[in-house]
Amino acid sequence: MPILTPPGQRWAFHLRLVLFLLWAGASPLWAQEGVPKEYQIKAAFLFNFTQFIQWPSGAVAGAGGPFCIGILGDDPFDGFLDETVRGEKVDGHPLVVRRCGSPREAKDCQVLFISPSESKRMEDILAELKGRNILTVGDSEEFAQKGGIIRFVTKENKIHFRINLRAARQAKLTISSQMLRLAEIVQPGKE
Amino acid sequence: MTMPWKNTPIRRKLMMALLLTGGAVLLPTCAAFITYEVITLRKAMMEGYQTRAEIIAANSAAALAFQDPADATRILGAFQTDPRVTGACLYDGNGKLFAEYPANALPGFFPAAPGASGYRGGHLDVFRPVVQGGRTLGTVYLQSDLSALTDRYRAYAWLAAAIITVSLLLVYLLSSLLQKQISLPILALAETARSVAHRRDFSLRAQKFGDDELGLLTDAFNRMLAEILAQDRALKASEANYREIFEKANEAIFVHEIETGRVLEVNQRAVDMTGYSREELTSAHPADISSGNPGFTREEAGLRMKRALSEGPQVFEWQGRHKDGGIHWIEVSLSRAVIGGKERLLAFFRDIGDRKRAEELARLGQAHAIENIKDYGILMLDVQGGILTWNKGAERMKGYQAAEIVGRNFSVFYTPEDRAKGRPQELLEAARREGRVEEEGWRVRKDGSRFLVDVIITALRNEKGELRGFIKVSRDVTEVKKAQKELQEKTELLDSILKNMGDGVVVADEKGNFIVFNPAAQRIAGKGPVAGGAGQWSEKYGVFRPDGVTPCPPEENPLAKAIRGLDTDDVEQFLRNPANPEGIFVSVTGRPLRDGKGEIRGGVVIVRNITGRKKAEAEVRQTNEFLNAVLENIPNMIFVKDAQELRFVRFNRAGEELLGIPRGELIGKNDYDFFPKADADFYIAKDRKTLEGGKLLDIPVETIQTRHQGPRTLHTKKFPVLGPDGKPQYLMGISEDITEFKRQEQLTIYTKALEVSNKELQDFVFVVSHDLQEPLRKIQSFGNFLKEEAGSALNETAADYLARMQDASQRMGRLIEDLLQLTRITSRAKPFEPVELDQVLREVGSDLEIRLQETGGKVVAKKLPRISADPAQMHQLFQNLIVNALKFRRAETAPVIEVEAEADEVKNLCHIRVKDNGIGFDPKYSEKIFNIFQRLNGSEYEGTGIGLAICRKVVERHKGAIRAASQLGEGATFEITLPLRQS
Repeated sequence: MPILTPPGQRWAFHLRLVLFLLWAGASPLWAQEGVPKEYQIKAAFLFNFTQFIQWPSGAVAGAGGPFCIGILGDDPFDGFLDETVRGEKVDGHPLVVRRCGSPREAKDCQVLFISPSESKRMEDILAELKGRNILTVGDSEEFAQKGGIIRFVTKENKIHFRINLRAARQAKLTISSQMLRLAEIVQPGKE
Repeated sequence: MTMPWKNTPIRRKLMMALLLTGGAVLLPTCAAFITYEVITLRKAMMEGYQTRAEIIAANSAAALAFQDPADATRILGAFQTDPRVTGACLYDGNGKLFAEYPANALPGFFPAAPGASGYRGGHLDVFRPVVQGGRTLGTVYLQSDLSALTDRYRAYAWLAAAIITVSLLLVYLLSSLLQKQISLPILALAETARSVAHRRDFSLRAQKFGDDELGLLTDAFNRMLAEILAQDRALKASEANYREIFEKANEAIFVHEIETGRVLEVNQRAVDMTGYSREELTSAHPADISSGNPGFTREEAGLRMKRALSEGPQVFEWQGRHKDGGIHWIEVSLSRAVIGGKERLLAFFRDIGDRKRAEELARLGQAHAIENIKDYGILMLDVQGGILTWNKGAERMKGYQAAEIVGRNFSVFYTPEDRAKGRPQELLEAARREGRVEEEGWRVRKDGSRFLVDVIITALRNEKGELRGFIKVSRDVTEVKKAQKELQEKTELLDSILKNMGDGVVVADEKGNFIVFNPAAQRIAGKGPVAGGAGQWSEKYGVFRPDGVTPCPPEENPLAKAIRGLDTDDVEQFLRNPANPEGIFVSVTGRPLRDGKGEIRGGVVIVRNITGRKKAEAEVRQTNEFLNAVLENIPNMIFVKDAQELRFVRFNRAGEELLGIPRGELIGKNDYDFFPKADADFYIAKDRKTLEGGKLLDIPVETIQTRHQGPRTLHTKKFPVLGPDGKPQYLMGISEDITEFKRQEQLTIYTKALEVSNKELQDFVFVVSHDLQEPLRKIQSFGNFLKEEAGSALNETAADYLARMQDASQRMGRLIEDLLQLTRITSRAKPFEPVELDQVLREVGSDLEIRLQETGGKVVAKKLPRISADPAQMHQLFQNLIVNALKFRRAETAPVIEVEAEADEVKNLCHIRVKDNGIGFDPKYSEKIFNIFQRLNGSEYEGTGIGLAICRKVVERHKGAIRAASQLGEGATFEITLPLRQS
């Protein structure tokens, strides 16, 4: 391929190669194969949840108001989420990503990804969000048992999710049966 | 129809036509149906699989969204239930295979990328995008084989085959039934046509099945046959006419066979002329009837006949020989003719003996002999036609005397027209050339009148053959022609009469050969003349005696009798033959026909069809008998009087019975002879009014005095009977005896009135009694109060008043109670039911126990029957009787009441006797005691006087009777009769 590449493009190829190596080197933790894609897939799943879950009427700000996906704590998506939701809409509401420092800031979000960085005060956060129509998503241990609605689980190199149905019901969210079929259902207290 | 069908029977043709039509309708229908089904089926299959693909797509959205191929494979696994689905798969958003079914599909089985749905090769491809929230997540692909279609195609093919088979079978069955509607009449027509052609019987008729076109065809065919029949008859009649002419011709006619010269037929004149019989003539040769003299031999005759055949008609004179050997002159005319379709040689012989003799005389110059001949004008002419001699015949014919005509030219006899044409000279020239010339033509007498003559001019030559002059023989044939014409007219007239008259005329000669048999006779007899003599006529024409069954004996046949010289006058006979299958009655008159000498030459009968008249007579007779029967048996009096004097002309049995006057005594008399004048005046006045009014008069009520039943009330209707002139001829009356009816009517009115008054009375009593109770109770109550409050304060007199008042009010209460009971017997009556009188009596006994004890009385009862009655009223009856017995007991004697009964099953009656040993009563009161308020013993005994009245009313309500018998001081017996069962 290098032989056939016109000389004018060869430097661009080299540049990309260098950039990739730089990026790979800068993220030693996710250096293994497949790992960098993990949050890319989770970002896509976050978006897909909005397609298979029904929020109660009034949960989203009036006509034209934003449909908000919040990230509480450190953002592990590295921009993938912004890319995924760009230009997308949910029932006519434009999708936006909002990074929140505290649960209070996240109160207007419809979806809230609670970063693993918050795992220590997870129960407080969830307690504070209780009763709101917010789909809480996380990937930390026992997230669902603690009252989170959806937890990402990685098994055999694939990403699955568990759903705490009681939490979903408390948040007045209706989850499509299709999606439930793909998920593990969790009873609080055991996982 | 195509050629091979030409000779197929019409049934088969119709059948094939119907089957082909049915097939032709069914095939395109089935084809169109199947085509439509195939198109819809393919569309439906496509839609069905698209729907299923859509379901799969909707279900697999999450699997695609969350990248779960296992779930997607599970969803696709649902296709296991449909063996027709050969494969299915899901592509992800990038068009890559995401999940597949079946799991073991060969690589390359699924299309590399999603495409368009459609039928491809032997399968159906369906693509369906998976859309979630407006985003396409992937595509569902579905492949199905076409076995669903091919299965259905096969089913349709079978169905179509079955429908066509069953339909054609139905068409076959229906058409074999329906085609008869058409083929039967045609076959019947064809059969008739064949019979007609075969038997040449034009009297056959085709049967008609309806008024459709075939019916018209049949009618037309039958009409055609009728015309042929008529023509056939006309032909026969015409033949008979010709035969008549042939036989009656004044010339002898011989019909020869051309090939052999044999004589086939001759007429009567030939027989007369030659003296030979017909048989002899038909076997004879011309030579036998020729003289045989030189020039008239058999050979010469043959030659002439040949010439007639080859050169055309020959006319010549000939010498014939009579059977008796005499020679006579004849003129022979030979010509060819076609008779009955065959060529014949016809020979006409005319007797010219007279002329020949005259010619001979003239030739011999025996003028003086000629001179005296009166019937022929014979004159000698010179070579130029100048008249030389004149005889008496010529003088008589032409009116000239010999002196004034001899020397003049013979052309003066000719008409101016003939003279102008040069006819006289022409004739002389012809006679000179031919030797002889004959002509028939008009001539002029001296007085200018014209007459018709038959003229022969013969040239006279001397021994050297030089022309000496002519001899002219003429005969006046005017009268002959006129007679001939008259005869012909008469014959035609007679023919016309015979042909058109309604009565049949049959004439036969003395041998029984029919001479006349007119059309009416043919209609009656069913056919024309038949051969076979008088003995067979009855049988051949179906002649019977008037009883219709006994064949008429040959000797009774009127025509046969006429031939025997016997007259028959209006004898009735019955004819049954094929033309009149139901038979007709005829009246026949027969007369013998006699010639001038009085000898019988035949007979004539006139036959008249009187069937219609007979039928009408029978109908009139029947109608009369019927009307008489009605008249005689009707239960009302019916009478008929003549309109003028109003005398009875007709009277029926009911009338005789009512008035008690036999009709023999009545007919011819009028009302004044039987009834009082005032009554008769009334009847006659009504009669006149009816006749003048001209219409029915209704007299609702009139009274009549009868002989045995006294005065009777009648309801009478009278009406005029018009005569043929439209004026009243008779007066007819119908009277109904309504005496009983009137009496009954009156009775009903009385009964009604009585019932009403009775009912009113009862109501009155009931109401009064009822309303009296209320104030009475008040009197009693306040009386009691008074006694309780102030009893002790009252002095003796006041207390007595009060006691009396209370006593009186008590009695009044009982009286009212009794009265109410009396009225209730009918107003509160209960339906009848079986009642054991034993039990009733026991109950009464126990009710009255205290009274019995007080009085020391006892009731001795024998076995009582069970009857149908109102139990409460029976109770009342016995109670009242026993109370009555106890009341009227004898002092110092203990009352004994005996009750006994006997049942009479046959009469349905029960007799009960209640007998006591009390004071009894005078027998004259035995009726009176049952009347209300009738008390015999005054105030000595308590009571209202209603008890026995109630008893009687109860018994009467039960349709029974009650009687009392007693002697004063000897106790009383009450006898009650009641029906065992109420009807």
